[in-house]
Parts: sequence; structure tokens; C-alpha cells
Amino acid sequence: MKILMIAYYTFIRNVRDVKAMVAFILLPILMMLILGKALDSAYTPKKIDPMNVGYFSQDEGLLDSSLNEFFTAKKTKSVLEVKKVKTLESGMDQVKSGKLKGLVYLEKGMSNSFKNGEQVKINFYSKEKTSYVQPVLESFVRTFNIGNTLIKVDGKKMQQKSTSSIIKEVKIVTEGKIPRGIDYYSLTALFQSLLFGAIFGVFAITKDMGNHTNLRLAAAPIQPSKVILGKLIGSTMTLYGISLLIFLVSKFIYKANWDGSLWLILLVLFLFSAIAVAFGMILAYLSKSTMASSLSIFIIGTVLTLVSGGFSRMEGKVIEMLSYLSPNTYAQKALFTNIYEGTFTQSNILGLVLYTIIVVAFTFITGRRRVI
Amino acid sequence: MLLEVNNLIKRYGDFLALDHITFAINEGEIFGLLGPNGAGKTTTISIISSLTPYDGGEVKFLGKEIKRHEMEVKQEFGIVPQEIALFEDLTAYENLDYFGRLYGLRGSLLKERIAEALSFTGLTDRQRDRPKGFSGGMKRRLNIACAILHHPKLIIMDEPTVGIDPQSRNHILQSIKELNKMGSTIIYTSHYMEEVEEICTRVAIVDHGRVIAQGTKEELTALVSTEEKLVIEISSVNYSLVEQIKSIPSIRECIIKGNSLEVVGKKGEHNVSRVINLLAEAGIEILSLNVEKPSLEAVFLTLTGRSLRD
Repeated sequence: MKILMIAYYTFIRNVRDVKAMVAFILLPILMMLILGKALDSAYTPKKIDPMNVGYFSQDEGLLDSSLNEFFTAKKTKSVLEVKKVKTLESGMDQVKSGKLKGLVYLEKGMSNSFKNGEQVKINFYSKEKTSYVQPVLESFVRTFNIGNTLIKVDGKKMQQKSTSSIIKEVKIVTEGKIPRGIDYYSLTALFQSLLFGAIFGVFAITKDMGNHTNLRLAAAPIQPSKVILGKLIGSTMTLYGISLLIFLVSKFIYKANWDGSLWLILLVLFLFSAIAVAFGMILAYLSKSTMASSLSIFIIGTVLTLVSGGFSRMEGKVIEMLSYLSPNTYAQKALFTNIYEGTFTQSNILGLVLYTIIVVAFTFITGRRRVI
Repeated sequence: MLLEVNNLIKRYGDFLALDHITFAINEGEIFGLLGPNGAGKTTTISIISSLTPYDGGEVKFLGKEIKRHEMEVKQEFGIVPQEIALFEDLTAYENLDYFGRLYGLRGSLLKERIAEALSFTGLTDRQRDRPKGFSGGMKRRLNIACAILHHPKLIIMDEPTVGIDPQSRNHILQSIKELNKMGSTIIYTSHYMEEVEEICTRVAIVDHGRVIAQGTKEELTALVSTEEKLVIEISSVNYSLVEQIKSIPSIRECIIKGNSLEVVGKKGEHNVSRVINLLAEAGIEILSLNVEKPSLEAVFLTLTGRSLRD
């Protein structure tokens, strides 16, 4: 009962701290809006102009005629503007000079080779490492392969021994399954601000040092661990309440994508709130200073958010390794996979639970230090 | 015996903060710990309150070692820290509710005790206000209310009148006497000699972490007083009379201050009757006569060679 009483009054005291409450509710809501809109282009598929591509064919069979037909189709024309070149050399020169973005080249006798069941390759030259010409060609190859398989089944026209793809298949994502800027930053900004919400854990300790109520608590007939637990619960409930409010704003006002299991979202937000508060309490117990703790939260919180991709997506082995030190990584991955792939990732939830246990345990260890 | 402190030792590194402090407190007493700042008063009561560990000696409450029966003993203590220890963001009522529940009070009993504590400290009208808007005196009173609402057997007050106006100070001192009448035993620390003299039944004088003297006020002053001071208000001043008074062998000094004579002489030499006789023979009317006894300040000065406020 004493634990719940301490938790209740800790919660009440936090809620009455109007400045802190306004800051912690408004900050993430504004961040979501600003980052979500400003960096939306990095996440939203854009309409692109047709690419200027050269075509040179020495093949005179079905493959050449099919590819010609494919290039002149309306849908292909919307993304590729194909220009026939007279020789391979002139085509290559135009690619080198930048007049053409790429060159598609069919070798002599390819249709016959294909007909005989041999594996053939459509050549594509480009100065750029990545080009959307490749998936367009893949699309053609798949259509061509399937078409010829059907022909074989019907027993007409062509014989085909292998229908294996000429170009390795690449997964093509569809619109609606990739996060928009607002979707991505609703989630990452929420976790970033929750991490900064560790300040509520700091307040739970340093405010009592400042107004000397820690003396009364230490002199009262209650175990210090129960006082720590009460404060942890009260501050976690404060931050959890804030997280739910921000979640509702982003879901219903910003229309961010929060599909997936609601229970999982609630669980992740709760665990993350507990981690943040415990983290703040540890810093406060160690430093015994609001200023030093706040500064530490800002620095550590920024680093943890950065390595977890909270500001922008980052790549690299070192970053990936560092990212596992950040609770944001587990929380974000758990929710992203839940929202966008519809799966439940046990490892991320387990990581988050372990993180919570470790941080809370440290809170009790550091809280045993005398604060008087 | 309610509380026994035996040979208490506390070190902070090489600094010996408490050097074999020993005293005992009986039930119903107001026991004063008098000493200058840094003498070891707060350390002593911090140890008694289980806030600070100690390096040697023992502290027993009702015969039980406080280290072994910490929770049980804490339940019987009410602490009034030197600093105002209140939640500024909770109302006066909520502060009392918080600390009442910490001491196990619930339901109607809790409400009853809160009302009683508010009434006792004169804060009933301000119970819905937060201490932020309180005067220093009101905060001090609420600080006391938080310590007494569970009816502790021993109330430990560490300089509870620091930094407040004379009216609030007087209110607090009267409250302490009232609490004592209601049956509470009180440990009262102060470096204000007048307060200790006014309310304490027994006093321990502490300096440099040691108890240098203890007893009732009379016992303490008797330890050191060899002189007494007469202050006599007279109808008219006669300078030849001053010389006559000075000629009495046991009188050391006689000075005129306005219409009064201040006469200092050896104690127990019948100085009062001798001076009165001289005044009567000279036909001088005595308007008032006061024999001033040595104060605890004088005791401290004699024992340490320093003033309490040095």
C-alpha cells in the first residue's frame, strides 16, 4: 500500500509540473510534424521522368521482337524512352558521354539459343550502379519466361527446357507497405522523446533531495527499496500516459500508420517508459544533481537515438553493432516489423524485456547509496 | 529510560565528528542538545533517526538497539528536520496524508489525525494551499505537523526555529511545551541558548563532538557559577553610595546604569541583604530588585572559553 501511495503522489506531482508536461507532450508532436513533413521525400515513392535508354540488337528472332514490343508498350514508355542505336560502339559512346543513361544490347542468335534451352543474358550497360532499368528488364524477362512456359504447356510454337530467371528476381515493394515520413518519425520521435522523458526519473529523486523530503522518507518506517519502487512506478505511469497521448495524436490527427497489434504497441511503450524512467533515476542517484543528470540524458539520449536511426536511417556495421546498445532499436524494430510485416518479433521484445530488467536492477543497486 | 546513547562515535574520514557521546533521556522530558554550529548535534540526531550510520557505541530505544529494530523504532519517532522538508507541489493536506500513510495511518483515523495536526499548528484554514505560498513560519509549523500526526513516542526536533519571525518562533515553542504536556518526549537541538533555557527540562552541552556537561539548567549553572549579579532599580542615584557598596569585601563591581545599580559579587556572601541595608540607611527607595543567575551561555563560555555563537 505504501508503494502505491508513493507511486500515486509521484504521479500527481509530475502531472502538476505543467512546464515539464507541456514540453514533453508538445515536443514530440512538433518533432513528428516537422521531421515527418521535411523528410517525407526520403520515404515516399516519387513520380519520375522516363529514362533515356539506347537499344541495339543483333538478334533477329522472337526475343528481339518481344523486347521491341515491350519497349513500345504504354506502361514501359512511361518509364523508359528507348532509342535504337546503329552500332554497339556508338551506343556505348553515348552512354559514356551521358547522352544515354544505359544501353540494352541483344547478341546475335539469342532467340535461337533460348529456343534450344540455353541460358541467355540480356546485356545492360550503364554508368550508374543502380538503375530502375534493371527491374523493368526483370519485368520483361518474367513475362517472357512465363509466356514461353505457357506456350510449352500448350505444345505450340516453341520448346523450352528451362524457365529459370535470367536475371535474379528482386523484391519489389508496393505502395502502402512502406512507411511515409510521418509514419517513420511518429515512431522514432516518440521513442526519442520518451528517452528524454528520463527526466521524470531524475525529478523523482532530485526534487526530494532539493526539498529535503528524502530525509523524511529515509526516517520513515519503510524499506528504501519500496520507496524506489513507488517512485519508479509513479514516474513510469506519467511517461506511459504521455506516450499514449502522443500515440493517439499521431494515429488520429497525423494519420500515421500504427497498424499491427495494439497490445504489442502498448507493451512496447510501457517497457520503454520504464527503461527511460529507471535510466533517469540511475543518473540522479549517481550524480545527485538535476543539471548533471539532464545533461547526461540529453547527450546519451541523442547518441542512442542517432545509432538507432531515430534522426535518419544509418547504415554500416559499426552503427549496426552500436544500435543494439540502444533500447530504441529494439522498440522500433519490434513495432516496425509488427506494423509493416505483420509479424511478432520475439527477439526484439525479449531484448526490450531484458533491457528493462537490467536497467531496473541497476536502479535498485544505485538507489541503495545513501542520498542524505 | 526511553533513549540511551552510549559512547557514540562517528568519523568522516580522519575527522572525528562524535567522540564517545553519551546521554540518556527519560520519558516525558524535553531534552536539549545545546552547542554551536558544527558541534555534532545534527550528526547525533541523524544517527538516532537511523539516517546516518555510526562507527561505534550504541543507541537504544526502550532497551532495543536501533540498528536491529530499525523499522520498529522508526515507527515511534517523529522527525522535524532542520531544513523544511515538505513537498512544495502538494497541498498541506496532501503532505500530511503522504506522511501519515508512510507511518501506517489509514481511513478515518488518518483523517482525524490530519485534522488534529492542522488544528494544533494553526493551519486548518490553509490545508488546501501548497507550501509554496506559505510564510517561513507556516512552513515550519507544517514541518512539525508532518512529524506529529502519528503520535510518536519521541519527537526529534533539529533547530526547528531557524530563520523565522519572533511570533512564529514563540508559537512553535509553545507548541513544543503543549506536545510535552500531552505526553511526548522531545529531543530539541538548538544553538539558541534562550530557547533551550525556556523549554528544556534537561540539557546536554555539546562541543567538538563531545558532551561537555549535562543536567538540569540549575545543575549546569551550579557547576560554574561563583558570582551573582544584582540589578536594583532605585529612586535616586547617590555616587557616594556606589563607593560604599564597592567597599563590601564580597562585592567585585558596582556600576550605575540609568536609575539602576548593577552589583556583581561572590555568590553565597549575603550580598543582597548587605546592599539593601546600605540603601535603607541612605534613605533610598528600592523600586525593584532582581538577582540574575548565570545563563547557559555563561556556562558554555566558562567550559569552552568560547561563546555559543562564535
